[in-house]
Amino acid sequence: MRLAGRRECGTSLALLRVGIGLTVLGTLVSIVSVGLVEVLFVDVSAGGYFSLTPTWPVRALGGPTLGTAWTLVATTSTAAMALTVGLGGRVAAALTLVGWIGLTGLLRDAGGSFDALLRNALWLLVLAQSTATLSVDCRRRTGRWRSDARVPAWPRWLAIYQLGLMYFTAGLHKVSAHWIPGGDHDALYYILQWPAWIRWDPSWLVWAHPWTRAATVATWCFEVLAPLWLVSLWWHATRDRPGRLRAFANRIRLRWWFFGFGVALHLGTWLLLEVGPFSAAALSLYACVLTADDLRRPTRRG
Amino acid sequence: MAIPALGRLRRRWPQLRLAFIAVHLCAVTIAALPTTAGLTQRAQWTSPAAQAEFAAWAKRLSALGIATDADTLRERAWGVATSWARTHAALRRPFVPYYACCGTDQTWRLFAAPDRFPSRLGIDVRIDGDWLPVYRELSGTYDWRIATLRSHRVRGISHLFADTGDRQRLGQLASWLGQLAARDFEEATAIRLRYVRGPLPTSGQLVRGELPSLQPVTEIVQVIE
Repeated sequence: MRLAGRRECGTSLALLRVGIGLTVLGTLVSIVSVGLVEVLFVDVSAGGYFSLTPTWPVRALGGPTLGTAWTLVATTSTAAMALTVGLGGRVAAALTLVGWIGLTGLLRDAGGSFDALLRNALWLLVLAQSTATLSVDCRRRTGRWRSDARVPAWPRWLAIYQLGLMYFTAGLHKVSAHWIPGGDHDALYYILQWPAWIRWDPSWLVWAHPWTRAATVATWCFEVLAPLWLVSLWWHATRDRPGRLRAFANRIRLRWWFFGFGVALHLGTWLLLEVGPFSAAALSLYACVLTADDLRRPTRRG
Repeated sequence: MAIPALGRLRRRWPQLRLAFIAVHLCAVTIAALPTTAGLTQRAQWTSPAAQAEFAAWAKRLSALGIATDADTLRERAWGVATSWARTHAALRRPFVPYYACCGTDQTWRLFAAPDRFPSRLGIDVRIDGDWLPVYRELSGTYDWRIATLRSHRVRGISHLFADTGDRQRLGQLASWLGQLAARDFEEATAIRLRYVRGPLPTSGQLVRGELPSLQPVTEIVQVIE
């Protein structure tokens, strides 16, 4: 009850807001720029190309027609812009979420984990007071772009849980003989050759093969041990309490090891594979792992 | 009357907030649990990738003293997978409205099983009776509409429809690409989507430059009107 009522500086949630807003905006721009609006968001019966499953926002607007598609694209883009600059508080987040649910649910096969991650992050932004600082709302309220106004901390903890849950269950899904330690550890070696996903010609794997095996083991361990990251963040948040494990984890800066590996994992994924907006969405959630203290005094981390 | 109700709600807010957080955590955790819902079609269990996976696991379990073979293991896994799919669906049921309204549904497969037999897309257009190659995945040479075809939204469906043998959707894909081809090649009379598949090279094969041969698996032709 006490944790749920805790308040803190809103910088982490503001950074999450900016990251998710930009990611949604960038994704929509990429869809529009290659002419996919008619293809992905208009049903074959209305002049489109594929049979779509209408989502509740699309049904409310009259079905998956060209008019509905452009209305939703325009509304979601405008709302995402407002979300990025911090204008309109929760309303901007809610409108972006409704638009995103409406658009991305029409042809689910064309989506991926990035859609689900963005939807979940947007819902957390609806719950959070994310425009307390670094926002137009803050500027209008206080005359300054930054504020130390304190906001409820529980949405940030839900975002942290979301990140840990994603990694942990992704690790549980990895039961392939190529992933599990003790096998050939060739999962990443093969994944980095998938024609549908790779960015570069895979001939570089000739010399990088041993590294891909090490990365396979490290990735699997990182994901399966993700709950320990959550615990290490909790131990840091309650560092004034007693306990040897808590003290040890804080001394070795356990939370920073997970943070560093996670950032490297997503940057590596982005560099080698075309996974859409997944890396950007995931890294936006990393803002929630940082406390106000981390963001204020980056050189004196605990 | 409304004001006392609002006051009561405000007084109860800490409890209500806690209840909401608990429900949210339950909902997202259940949604994210490993799912086998996408594996309840027999055909998926006999794909080359699945067969290779069961063979690897059977070998590994046998080495650990649990004697089994790929077929036995597949049958057991099928039973567990279908049973868990039913249980998971039942666990999810109370939260379905929350998933639909608030976008909280989620599954994190994230490259769970590397497909060692992925398909590759090639596109040809027919001009003056001859098929001319215009697109070959990762060829670097034939790159017609590459920005569109390599978009993360299009790559997913183009491979999924071929891998699942969904010819109706492949036809819809060909119909769309046919319209694009008609704009770019005025004399084109048809478009052909060809998928080829072969095992990914092992590290030894890659070092020796021995690339496994690719076999055609699916082909669809769409007349351009």
